[in-house]
Amino acid sequence: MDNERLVRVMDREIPIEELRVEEKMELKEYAKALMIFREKCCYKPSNQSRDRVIAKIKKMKTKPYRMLGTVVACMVVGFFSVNFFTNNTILVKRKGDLYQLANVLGYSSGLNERLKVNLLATVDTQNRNSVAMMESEMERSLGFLSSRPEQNNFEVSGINTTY
Amino acid sequence: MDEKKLIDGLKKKKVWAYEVLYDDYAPRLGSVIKSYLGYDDVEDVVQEVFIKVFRNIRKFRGDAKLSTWLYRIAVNICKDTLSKRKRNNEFLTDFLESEDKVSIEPPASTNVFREVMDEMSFEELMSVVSKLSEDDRLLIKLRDIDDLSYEEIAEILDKPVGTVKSRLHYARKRLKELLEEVGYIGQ
Repeated sequence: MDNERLVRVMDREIPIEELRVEEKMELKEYAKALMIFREKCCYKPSNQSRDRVIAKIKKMKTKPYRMLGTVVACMVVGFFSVNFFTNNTILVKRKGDLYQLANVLGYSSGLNERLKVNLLATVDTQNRNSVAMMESEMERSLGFLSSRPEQNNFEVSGINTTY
Repeated sequence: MDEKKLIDGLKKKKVWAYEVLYDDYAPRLGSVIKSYLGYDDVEDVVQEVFIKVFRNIRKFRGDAKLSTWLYRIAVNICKDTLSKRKRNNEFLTDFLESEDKVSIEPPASTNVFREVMDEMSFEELMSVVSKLSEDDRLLIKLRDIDDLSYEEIAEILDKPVGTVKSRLHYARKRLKELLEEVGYIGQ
């Protein structure tokens, strides 16, 4: 059987009844090869792979909700942290530094003087001032946290808390 | 189950719809993937198909049959897998090499089928089928085994109907030639 005829038979354009006996035999062998191919490709998914796919889909389905939950949790924690640190402060002053104590008590004429100086300063001086202020703040906080009270140059000047 | 109801369930991301989809289509998709790729990665590709369905089901407009859309996704993933393998110079598992797996895990019907064939012809024909190219195997699988129309195959492969017809013509010719080479037909 030539290829053209085979294709037409396979596409059912030529009924099998019209084929000659030897053509029918040839077609039978061809069909046998196709059956082998079908068997070779046969796929039966296991229950395990079914469960894996369904579990994956369930996980993907809940993913947006899980993400939303995480974002909300982060926001709540952030809000409470900011709230806690703004409402609860420990004021630290250098031992015997009355200026700091005056700040705490609200009688800070010296502070106003300092601010005036800062406002009138040039950009470079302003930066230097703010860097110096940051450094002194760092020194104050770290010194207070790291050293023992008797070796410490700093002491608590006041506690501001809502709790 | 009614296809419209199933698609509706899939679009609403209902788990039962994906369970039904898996039960109905996983064997069919798996066999197409197996015919195209050989035996490698069938389960992984099937899983990838279902994940892609989950992500893209809203894009399914219903112009084509659901099965055609699924076949198309499966074929595209197979093509990606093959090109990835080629890019990475991975060793391509020959269709021939996985013959053992067939004899280890044959489907229930296979035993009956094999009983009516002598062992020699079964193995011989296995090796003949293995010599076909991936594209030839896919075309023969879709048309002569799954009995899809030329239009459906054209849609799955994203090729004109004429191209599909001529490629299938050559695939069948190639299979016939291979069968003739081993003296199975045309003697």
